[in-house]
Amino acid sequence: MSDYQELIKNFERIRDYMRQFFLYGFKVRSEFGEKSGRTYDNERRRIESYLSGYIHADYTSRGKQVSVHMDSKQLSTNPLYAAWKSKSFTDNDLLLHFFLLELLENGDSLTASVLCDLLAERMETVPDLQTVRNKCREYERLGILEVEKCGKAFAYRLAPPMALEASPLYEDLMQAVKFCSEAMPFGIVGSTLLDREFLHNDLFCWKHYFLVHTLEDQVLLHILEAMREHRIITFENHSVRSGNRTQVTGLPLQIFVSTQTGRRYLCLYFFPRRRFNCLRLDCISQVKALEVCTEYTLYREKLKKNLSSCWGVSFGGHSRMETLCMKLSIDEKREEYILNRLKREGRGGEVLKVRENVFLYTGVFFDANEMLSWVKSFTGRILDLQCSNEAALKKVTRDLEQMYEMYSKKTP
Amino acid sequence: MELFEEIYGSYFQAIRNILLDARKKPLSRKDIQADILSTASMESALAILPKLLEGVWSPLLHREEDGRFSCALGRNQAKDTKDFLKLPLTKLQKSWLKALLSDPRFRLFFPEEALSFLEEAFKEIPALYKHSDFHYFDRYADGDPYEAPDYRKIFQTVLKAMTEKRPLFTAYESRKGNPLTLEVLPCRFQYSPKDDKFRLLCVSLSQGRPKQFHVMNVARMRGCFLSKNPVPEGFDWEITRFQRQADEPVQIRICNERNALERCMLRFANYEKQTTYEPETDTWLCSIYYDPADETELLIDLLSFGPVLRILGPEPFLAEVRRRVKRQHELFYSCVE
Repeated sequence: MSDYQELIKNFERIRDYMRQFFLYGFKVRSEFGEKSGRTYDNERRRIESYLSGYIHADYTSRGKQVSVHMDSKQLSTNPLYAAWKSKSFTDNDLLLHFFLLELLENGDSLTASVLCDLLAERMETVPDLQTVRNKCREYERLGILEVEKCGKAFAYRLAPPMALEASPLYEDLMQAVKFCSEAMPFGIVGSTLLDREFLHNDLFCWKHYFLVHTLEDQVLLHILEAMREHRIITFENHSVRSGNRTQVTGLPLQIFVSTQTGRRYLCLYFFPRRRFNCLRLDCISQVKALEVCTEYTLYREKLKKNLSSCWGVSFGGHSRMETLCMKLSIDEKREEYILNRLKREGRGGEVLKVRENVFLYTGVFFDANEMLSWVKSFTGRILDLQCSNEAALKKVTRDLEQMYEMYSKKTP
Repeated sequence: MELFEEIYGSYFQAIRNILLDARKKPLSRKDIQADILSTASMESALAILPKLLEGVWSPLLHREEDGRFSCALGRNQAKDTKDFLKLPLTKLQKSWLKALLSDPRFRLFFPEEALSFLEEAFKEIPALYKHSDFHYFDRYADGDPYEAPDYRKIFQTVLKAMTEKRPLFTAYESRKGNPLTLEVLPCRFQYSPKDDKFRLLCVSLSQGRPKQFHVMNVARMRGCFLSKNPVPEGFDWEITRFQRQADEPVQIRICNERNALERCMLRFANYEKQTTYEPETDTWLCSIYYDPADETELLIDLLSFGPVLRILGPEPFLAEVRRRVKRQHELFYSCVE
């Protein structure tokens, strides 16, 4: 492993490995079929380094099995953010970064050639003018430097701090960032803000925190940029089930988020099929923005009208709406929390009292199949089930029967 | 915009940390290693140290006669500048902060006048995303009332107590609706995106001594104010000591059908777990470690998978599964109601 470097140039390289180690935690070297053994070893070593303290290694008959063990209730911050902080750089990048900050610290506006001369006094190797110019342009793009015309050349100075930073309110803002760096989209950005102040979250902890989805944030950012410009996008979609990679083109409209699994989906409008569809963000890569869709607002409005009919991420098949009725046995006096469950988890479905201790839930959605997991969470209380989608009804009834067979036998 | 930039990287952060410390006083090699470990990994230390002390990054440090290292940068500038080598906020960071302003949970942290000030400060900056770009389709419908004035006031008072590490008097309504008044030491807020609720993890005080660990729904707090009583000497504010794990993990066997493995791994990704493949049966054995307070939630989540996973133990957990499944069978096929 002579060519091993802890830092990486391309985030996509680690995205898949990190996801697999984190989620599955039981794959061995030989099971990562798409890449070479050397790649596996390097990526494993990187992940072991980024997530040191959370890595367990077991030796099985099939080889060394590396897994990530963490309980999100015990964490203050997402350890997977370490992957975002692992971009490689050249020696010049690092030296220029710190020396430029030093040279521009007092607010001076300096041209690249003046900076180059001053840098030559400080650095052992003299950087060439083009390298300094490129770095200044890069930092201007990031918002670190500002540029102004100085004769025929451009002069660069540090972007001034926001007035807010000198106000006592800034401390309160950082308290909010401690929360938002984990709870909001692109929390990694909040983590960099806390790093900037050498702060860490000491106020919040989490329940139902799904850490792995930070790995999709760059893809998400590219999609949101296209959404902001009302652009159609094309991207590669990797089907987890079939393993197929296909090129998909559509109009990105909204991001659907499951708070119960952390999974995020891109909701697109597909023009040829004239329908909405959701695809998992973790299966999407290489997003490219295409032309602007002039009717973007119209499609967004159409989607908005459909949202209340989506149980999850499906817009259904041929039958447009499906109805599911579930009659439940609930002791009103002692089991009010079950009634509360129906109301808060029922996504707008109707809850009616049929008679004492018997309640009827009725939901009308595009796809009753999506409701079946929720229905099964009431196992032990369901008095009757009716569904306009006969196949879905058969499926859930069969599942309940199989569960009875499974658990009435003593041996596992 | 790109999230993956070296300026946000752990190496840059580690070097900045070292340079700031080395500006205050010269550092030994051991001090420098400790600085790296506080922001990056051991592997990072192995990569950074030789380059910084003897290699191409060494112009950043000045080697003193006694062998220690001081910061070679800003030697003519005042030493107490706390913002030395701090990057200006980047476009990405400003844009993210602007996006937060439309979120009611972010707004909880500030009184109205402060929000107006923030809105003015970020007026010209485009938001990284809009709240409406996201649709949280399975979030519970009874989330906290983030915009209610009483709730906001209570949240801000608790936050103040927590930040200043001070006790708090609270009037609380229990789950059964009973009123309680307690003096508590507020340790942490716990937030759940699924419940869309804040809970306060705290320790009650009795006659000035820590008594009992509590988890309070902030929405059920009816009032609170800061106490002037002292914090008990040596009180440990860390909540990890209160976090429990069941004696035995729940063990499940996952079938190789209906994409059950991936669904399971995603669904239970928030728990600590261990999974192994059994080639003889083409199934996966998974142990899920959990807080006993979450037992019912875990049980119904497991039941929601139906027969593609089988719960193997521990026995009391399995007995409850059996009871529910049996009762379900009776409800469907007998005349039990």
